[in-house]
Amino acid sequence: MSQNSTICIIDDDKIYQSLTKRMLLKLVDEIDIEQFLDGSDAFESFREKIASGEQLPKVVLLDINMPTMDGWEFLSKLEKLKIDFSEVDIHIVSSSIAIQDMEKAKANVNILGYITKPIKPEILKNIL
Amino acid sequence: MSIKNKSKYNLTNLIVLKPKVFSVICFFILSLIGFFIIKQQHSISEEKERLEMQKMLNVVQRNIEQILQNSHTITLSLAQTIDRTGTPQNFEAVAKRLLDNNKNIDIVQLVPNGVIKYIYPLKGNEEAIGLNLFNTKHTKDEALKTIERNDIYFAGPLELVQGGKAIIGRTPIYRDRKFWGFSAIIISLSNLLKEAGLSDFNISGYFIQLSKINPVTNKEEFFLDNPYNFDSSIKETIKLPQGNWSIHLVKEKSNTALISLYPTIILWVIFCISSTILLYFLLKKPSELQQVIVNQDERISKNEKELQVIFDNAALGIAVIDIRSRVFIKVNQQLSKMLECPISSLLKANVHEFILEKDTSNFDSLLNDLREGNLNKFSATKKLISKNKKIIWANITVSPMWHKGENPSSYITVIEDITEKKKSSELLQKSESRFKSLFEDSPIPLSEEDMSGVQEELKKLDLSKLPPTKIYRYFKEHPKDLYRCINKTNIIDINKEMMLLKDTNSKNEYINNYKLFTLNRAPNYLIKKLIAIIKNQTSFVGETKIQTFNGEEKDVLVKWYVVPGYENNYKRVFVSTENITERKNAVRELKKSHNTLIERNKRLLDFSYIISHNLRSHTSNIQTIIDNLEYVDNEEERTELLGLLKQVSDSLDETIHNLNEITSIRANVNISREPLDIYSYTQKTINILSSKIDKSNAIIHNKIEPDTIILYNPAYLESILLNLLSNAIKYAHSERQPEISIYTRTFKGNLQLFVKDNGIGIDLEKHGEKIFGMYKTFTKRDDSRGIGLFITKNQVEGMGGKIEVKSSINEGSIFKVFFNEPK
Repeated sequence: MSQNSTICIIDDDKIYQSLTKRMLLKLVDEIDIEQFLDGSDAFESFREKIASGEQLPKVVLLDINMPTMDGWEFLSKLEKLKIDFSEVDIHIVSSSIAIQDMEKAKANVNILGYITKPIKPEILKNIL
Repeated sequence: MSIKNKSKYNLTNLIVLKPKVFSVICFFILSLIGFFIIKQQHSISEEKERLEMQKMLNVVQRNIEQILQNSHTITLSLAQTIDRTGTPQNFEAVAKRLLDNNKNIDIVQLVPNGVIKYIYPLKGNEEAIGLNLFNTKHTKDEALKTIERNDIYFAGPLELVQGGKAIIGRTPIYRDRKFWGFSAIIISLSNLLKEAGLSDFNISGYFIQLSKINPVTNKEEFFLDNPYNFDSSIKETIKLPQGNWSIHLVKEKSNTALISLYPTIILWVIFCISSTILLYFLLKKPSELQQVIVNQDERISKNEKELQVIFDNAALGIAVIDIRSRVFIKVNQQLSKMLECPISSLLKANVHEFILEKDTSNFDSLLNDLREGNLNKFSATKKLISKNKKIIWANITVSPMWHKGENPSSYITVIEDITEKKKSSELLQKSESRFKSLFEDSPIPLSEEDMSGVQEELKKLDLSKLPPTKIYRYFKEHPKDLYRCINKTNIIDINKEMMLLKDTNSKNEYINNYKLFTLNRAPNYLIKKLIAIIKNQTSFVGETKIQTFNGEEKDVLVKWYVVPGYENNYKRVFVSTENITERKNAVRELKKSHNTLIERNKRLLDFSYIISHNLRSHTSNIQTIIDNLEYVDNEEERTELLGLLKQVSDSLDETIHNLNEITSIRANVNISREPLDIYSYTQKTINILSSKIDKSNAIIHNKIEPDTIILYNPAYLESILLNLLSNAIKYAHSERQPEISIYTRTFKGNLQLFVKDNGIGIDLEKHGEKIFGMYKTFTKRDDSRGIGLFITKNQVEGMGGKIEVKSSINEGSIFKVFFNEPK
């Protein structure tokens, strides 16, 4: 694991958040986990980081369906900030098994992968 | 139609057509006459002069002859002095006496044997004594000539020995038939001239010259100082044989007579010139007239030629016919061809032989009118029959060949073979009637319209250069122009099917009320039609609605095309109006069911999405928890996970409950309806929410008219009101007192419910689609569940209505419910 081991979870499902956090903590010894319940909060944090020159999280687990700002909107806003997506691995993690969502994710070059819930520790390990 | 010979005009032409030439010729003739007259006059005056001069000379001649005669007498008298011996006696005394008596004689001599011996007076003449005439050169010839003449002969004038010029008259004297000598007298020239009356000859314009042929030289010698070169001058001469003298009376200037003629010549010249000019002008006028006549003549003859050519080669039969006998006087080739009869036999024939109908009374009466001058000309269509019994339809035009007031003689007939025309017009009539029946009995509603008025009206607006979109906008903005143009359409005819379509029994009813119905048509269709005319299109297709006379609306497909030949003026346009109401309705139905299907499909998708998303999120959590539970080793962790599992099961239960609610709404196709007082229901809802209202300090205005009744499901109405009102309270703006108004409106007979707040509002641009979706929340409020509006929408739509929203962020929202009560 590299020095930058921050992982960011953006999901409005609190149970999923806590379960994933548990999983991550078990898998990795040293890890910073950032958690956001919707896109707008996450976006604010990203923006602040860019403004202050802080490093962005290495991995982002992004849900699609969220109130206020959903995953897609978050992504498009992020793209407008022109960040270096090669340094930020974005994975969609959704309970949606709708093909439209999967294809939409596939079409976006900045999305590394599409993971359907429930997320397994092996998959998490791979991502990290 | 003969062509007149021109040659007989030649002489006249010379005089009249060439006044200049003729005038010049006249001038020369007059000049010639003048020349002869003047010449005559001149010679008469010359003759007169000559006579005058003759007279003058005669006097001189007489004088001289007198002198010479005297001289002779004196010589003879002197000779008397000679006696028998031949010696003169008393010579001196006789001579003195003679000289005294004849003062004109200067000297007398007696010259015996040619030697001058006796001279009186001797004084001054002594030198001559002893001169032998025969020995002296210049006297010898004359002396001998005297003897020859045997009469007095005058010698000289010559220079006298004693000096001076004089003539010497000598008479030979014979004694006893023997020459004795001469008796001579000498007259000085000056004396002679004086005596002859010549010395003081002083008539102006004339002079005298005396000449003599020199016997020695035979040349004429002149003796007077006057000019002697006068051969060409007017002169009169007398000859004196006694001395071979000539006396000339010469007119000094031979042209004096001419000078006297000058006035005459000048007057004549003036006369010639003026009469020539006068003649020229006199001739000019008729010449011009003549020229006009000649030109006219040429033109007439040209016209005649042309007429002849036209007559001969015309494609129409032309004949001149005698009005009484009705016999052909003149016919052309075409007529002969038409009637299949050679010209020669036609010319003997009577018109009636070629007329098919025997009853010609009508034609005859027309001819009679023509004859009486009631008609200028007339035309008639008649059936003719050719010699080979072929029937010919002919158009006959008859014009008189006489002028007004003249006696009717013959008439000219132009005969046009219209057999072919007649045939084709019959064909045309047939096809026209065939077309008519096609039109009339066509299974498609048809009409024939005159759109020329529309086109003219459109031209006035001058829109042709605009693109169709701009024309469209123009008419949208100027509906008066649109209807004025459309109203210029005139219906020419409609067929039965059209009447059926319009539910009318009368064509006139349709035609008269056409405009009324057009106005009801959609302007878009009318504008499209006008654009087609502006752009000069010859065909048009468009759909519109029409209203029948029963007030029924029908969908029609209108197609028209301009009848060929009328493309520029739109005077005839065929319009088919196909009834497509059923088709249209079917399409509408189809569209409706299509939309329903789409809607259903969409709901199904929504539902599957809800299932996949909302249910799967719970199940995936359960899976994760169970997975974790398997590897848990301490009790604390297990309790924690079981707590989470409890949470998941609770929210799953809620989700399933919500889903059940929605599916129950959807499944309920026939939900019961009952009349409900919407005001009371609203009031009831306000009461239910009173604690929340109090908490938020909101003001609620129930503006619904009491006793507003709608037919609706009570549970749904309660739910709808509760959801909308609680949302309005929930999403109040933190900076102001919430104010909510509830009111109804009636639109097209349907009641609409409005719930208006001054809350935070929703960004519809961003969330428009999702606002009524399940689990869509747009705020971070904990109590936003994203299910209320989803249920409301399902309830409203389940009752056949719809719900809409208008909103602006930070200002508020208005929810609008269309109830759609059944009629």
